[in-house]
Amino acid sequence: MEKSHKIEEVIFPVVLRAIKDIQPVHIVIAVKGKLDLLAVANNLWNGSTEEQRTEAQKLLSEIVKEIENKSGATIDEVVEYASKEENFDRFFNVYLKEQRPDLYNQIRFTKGAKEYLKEQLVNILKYLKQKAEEAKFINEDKV
Amino acid sequence: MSDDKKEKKKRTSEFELIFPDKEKEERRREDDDEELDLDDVIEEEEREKIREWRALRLEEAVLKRKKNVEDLKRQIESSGGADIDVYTLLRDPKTREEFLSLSDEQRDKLINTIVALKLASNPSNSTVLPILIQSLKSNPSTKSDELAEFAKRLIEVVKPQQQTQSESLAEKILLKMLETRDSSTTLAEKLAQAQREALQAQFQAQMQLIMKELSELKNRPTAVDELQNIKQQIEVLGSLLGKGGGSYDPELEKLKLETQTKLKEMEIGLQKWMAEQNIANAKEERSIELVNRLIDNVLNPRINDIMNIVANRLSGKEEANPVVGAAAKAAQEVMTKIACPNCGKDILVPANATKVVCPNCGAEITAE
Repeated sequence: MEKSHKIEEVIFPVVLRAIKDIQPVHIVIAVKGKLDLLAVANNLWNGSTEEQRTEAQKLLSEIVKEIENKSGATIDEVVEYASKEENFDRFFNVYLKEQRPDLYNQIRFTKGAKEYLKEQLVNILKYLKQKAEEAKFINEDKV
Repeated sequence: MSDDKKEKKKRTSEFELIFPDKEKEERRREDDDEELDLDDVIEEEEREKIREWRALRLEEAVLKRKKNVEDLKRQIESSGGADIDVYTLLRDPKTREEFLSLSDEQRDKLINTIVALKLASNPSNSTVLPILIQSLKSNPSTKSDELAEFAKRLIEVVKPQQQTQSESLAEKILLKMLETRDSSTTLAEKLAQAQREALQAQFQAQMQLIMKELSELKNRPTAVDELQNIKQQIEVLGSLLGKGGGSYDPELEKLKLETQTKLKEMEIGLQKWMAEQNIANAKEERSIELVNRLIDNVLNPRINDIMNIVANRLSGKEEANPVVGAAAKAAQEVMTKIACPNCGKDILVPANATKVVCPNCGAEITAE
């Protein structure tokens, strides 16, 4: 099996799990308000306590580890994979259509939603990678 | 020539031969006698004619007198009894005395007023007279026209009272009751009886009219009678042409045959139409039966299922029928709920739709 397929098998369910509580109306709100998810994540991060940050970092590093272990690819490769347009299109037109038809249709019928989400997804993945790496370094320092 | 004349001529000729002078004298005498008789007859006739003429003249005179009398009567009637003596109003001795106490001028005024207003034509106006006399006495300078105006007003005031007295049915009955002193009969009963009688009279009159019209209608020939007459005439004509004539008319036979053929054709057409109608009815019945069966076997259970689903959804229970539940799930999969990008309200969208219109805001949304 190709590496990309492996990544796909791992990352798609992870993303799906991440957007589990997202409703179609949230897409409309986010797109209309041009919500910067990275900024939101940053704000959340900055507003959180030290304990919360440690907890989140632990969780993130576990997720990254899981992705890397299951797909056999590094997190950089996963981000690179997600940044490619054809991969995102496959995720959208095949996976999301089947698993979350409501979000799929909402994105279809909302102007500019697809581009927005693609951009945001890549940003978030990069952010997750960064945070996971931070956690890795912290752990390594501790060690 | 008759036998008597022949005989007479024969005898004369014989007599002339025997006594020629005597015979001439005899004839002259006979002629004189004849002339005398004629005068008498004419005189008698003249006398008769004179008698007739006198009778006619007498009749004429009588008729003329009668005509005059009739004309006079008519004149009296048309004048409304104006010729009735003014003094008929002065029957009351008191009124008469007061009338006599008036001056000549006042009396003239009064008489003129009475004649002008035809007061004397109605004896009931005698009530007006004493008032007029009093008025004249109290105001001697009253003019004739003023008095007439006053009298007119008086008549108008008095008239309605007299009319109500004469025309009020209730009053009449009341008076009659008082006369008869019949205490057992109430006024209402009397009124009801009077109304009943009036209605009965009206009803009888109407019944008579209806009976008369019915009898006229019975005697009148009906459309059926007229048709029967026409039929009889046709039969007579047919017998005359067909049997009585004895001669064979090819044109007539041809016409007969054509008519018979047409009749047969019409009969066949009618039978055909009836058969078609029967077939159509049978078809319709069959299709109705089919539709009913379809409704009973297919639609009704589906409707019941849908009703069950709706009821369960509304009550928050699980779907009772698993098969229908699966179908509903499939339907749900086909349709997805999205938020309208324009107004944010929920819209149901078919899976592969490319264009939808929001039922809430009416925005036309196109898929990218």
